[in-house]
Amino acid sequence: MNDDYLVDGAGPPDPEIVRLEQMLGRLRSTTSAPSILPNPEHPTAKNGQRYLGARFLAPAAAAAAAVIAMVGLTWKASLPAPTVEGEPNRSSWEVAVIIGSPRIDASVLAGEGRIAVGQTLTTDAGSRAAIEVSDIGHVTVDEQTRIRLLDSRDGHHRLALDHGTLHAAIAAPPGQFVVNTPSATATDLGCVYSLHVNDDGSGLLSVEAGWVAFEDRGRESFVPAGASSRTDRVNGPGTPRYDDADPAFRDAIDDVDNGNDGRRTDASLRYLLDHARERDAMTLWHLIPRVGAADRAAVVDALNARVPIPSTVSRDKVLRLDRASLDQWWDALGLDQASWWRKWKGAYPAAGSPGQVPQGQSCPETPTLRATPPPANNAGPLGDGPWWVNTDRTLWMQSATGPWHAGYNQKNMMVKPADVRPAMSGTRIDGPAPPMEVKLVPQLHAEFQTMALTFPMEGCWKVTATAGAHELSFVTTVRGRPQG
Amino acid sequence: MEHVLELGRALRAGDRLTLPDATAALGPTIRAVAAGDQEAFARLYRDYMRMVHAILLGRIPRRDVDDLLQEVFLTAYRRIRELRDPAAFGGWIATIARNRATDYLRQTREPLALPDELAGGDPIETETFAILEIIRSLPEAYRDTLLMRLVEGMTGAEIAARSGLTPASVRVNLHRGMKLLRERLTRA
Repeated sequence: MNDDYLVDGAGPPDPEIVRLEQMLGRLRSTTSAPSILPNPEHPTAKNGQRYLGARFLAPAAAAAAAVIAMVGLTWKASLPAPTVEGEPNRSSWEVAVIIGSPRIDASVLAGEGRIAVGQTLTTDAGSRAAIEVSDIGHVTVDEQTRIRLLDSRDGHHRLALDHGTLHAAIAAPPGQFVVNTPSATATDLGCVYSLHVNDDGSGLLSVEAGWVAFEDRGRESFVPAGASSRTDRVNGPGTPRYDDADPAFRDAIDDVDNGNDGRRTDASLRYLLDHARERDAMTLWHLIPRVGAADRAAVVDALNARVPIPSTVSRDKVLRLDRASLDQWWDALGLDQASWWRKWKGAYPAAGSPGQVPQGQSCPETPTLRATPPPANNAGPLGDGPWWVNTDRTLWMQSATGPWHAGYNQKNMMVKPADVRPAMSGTRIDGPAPPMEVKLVPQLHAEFQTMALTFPMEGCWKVTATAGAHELSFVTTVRGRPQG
Repeated sequence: MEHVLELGRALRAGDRLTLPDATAALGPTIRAVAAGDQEAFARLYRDYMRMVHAILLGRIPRRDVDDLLQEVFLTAYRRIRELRDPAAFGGWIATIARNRATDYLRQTREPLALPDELAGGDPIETETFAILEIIRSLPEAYRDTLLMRLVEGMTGAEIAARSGLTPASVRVNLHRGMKLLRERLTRA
């Protein structure tokens, strides 16, 4: 018997113990910490009325996992890693076994370990692993998957998913976490998503929260929450579609993207144009540059029937695939602004610009500021906004996911003094509405704070944030949820 | 009768854990939890849930382990101000877990004489539960330590740091427990 392996998981693996680990590891718990009330003296806490058994919570756990993962991530210090010009980066990430015996290169991972830049993590049919992506999020690696860590520096983290499935939950400014696949590159825009790659290099991206940019050789798909995009080696990222579209609609997209039978492809395109819902305008917009010139006018007409082309946009320019015209039309879809996801390396959109005020309403929006907040003790450079800033410049806030839309759980960023617990509230000021919902990530000691805000209704909202004696209030417009 | 090093034995002065950072940070974490800090509570849960899960899994049917796991932590949260020495948290919550498992077994009245664990048709699953039953039949200290190692994937150093046992005791429990497990697996 190998003593070291039994006690510390070190040294040559003992085959019998490895087998026991593989079998018994299936019995591990994956529950999260239950919620507690702020004060244990609270009578409800004493009675345990807040507690619901894990088995009762299980059906909701999967749906909640994305939000919990995003909201629950602590955005820790991300000071620049010391690197030497010309030398390979040897940063590493923590890896933990979820079940079975994943391998890092040729070594069986027992319990916890690390994967360094240049190393490969492989799972077999009976193993899964969890990875801490530097200090910005988590990746779960499913069975029969191979990933390679290509790079991990301040603000730049890149994996290769050769085959298999991973689930990512990232809380970082857009563009910091990238996954290469054989047929497309997935760039995180602040989100939770799953990515699967088949042995032939084709794959499927499914986004649960936020956005993911899927790109290959200049072909882009911007995939919002609730939508998916296929990819294959020949054609790259496919046309994104909402997952609640009917199966025939989704099959028709696959035909249009990858079909070889011209007559069938034509029929599928006709089906798409006839059956697209208003919500599917996102799909139709992506189709404009993807179809041949002969079909483009029909796609433009179909999109125009769902979301009228803005008066400032020329139909001819759209037909000529003029990027600015296409982007302006995108902005009218009620999703985030094209300028944001296309230029995510730069500024975030100016939330609440005058053009976003719902018709018939006049919302006295608070101007945002182009300025750089002071360095935070737990985040890298935060850019010049635009931010809402209080008068003594101690509280800074911006949306991390573009303009706010009613009914969406959207991530937001705040810079605040350390060691003060922020509080937030939001009230609609142009009509009745339930209050804004707030989920603050516990970051007491941090100066950079993230939180999820949900506005229950569109309209004109006053948002107030306090941290200690400091207060920031601003008025902004919340758009309606795109109708499906 | 075999000599068994009991779980929960206090760490003696001079004993050094292999994971000093984990226990060194316990004081502020415990104080933060007492003040209602969810993040600190989640940290405690993350660090100690595997040990508590192993203790419960060695005593009660698996179907109820996750529920009791959360109950144990909520009990610890409600009583955290009773904890005088933060460094004793591991042994303290382990005791809560053992007591809760004992209460569960006292209170449970199975309406039918069903086995505690019902495996599906998968032969691997059947074998897994059979091995679990054998481990459950081992003396308590061996049982808990082996489950922490084989189910939870904890290293000997982690088991020592979390449980309050000395590393030497953990090593002995693992060796003797594994030897006994092999013998019983051979007989099974």
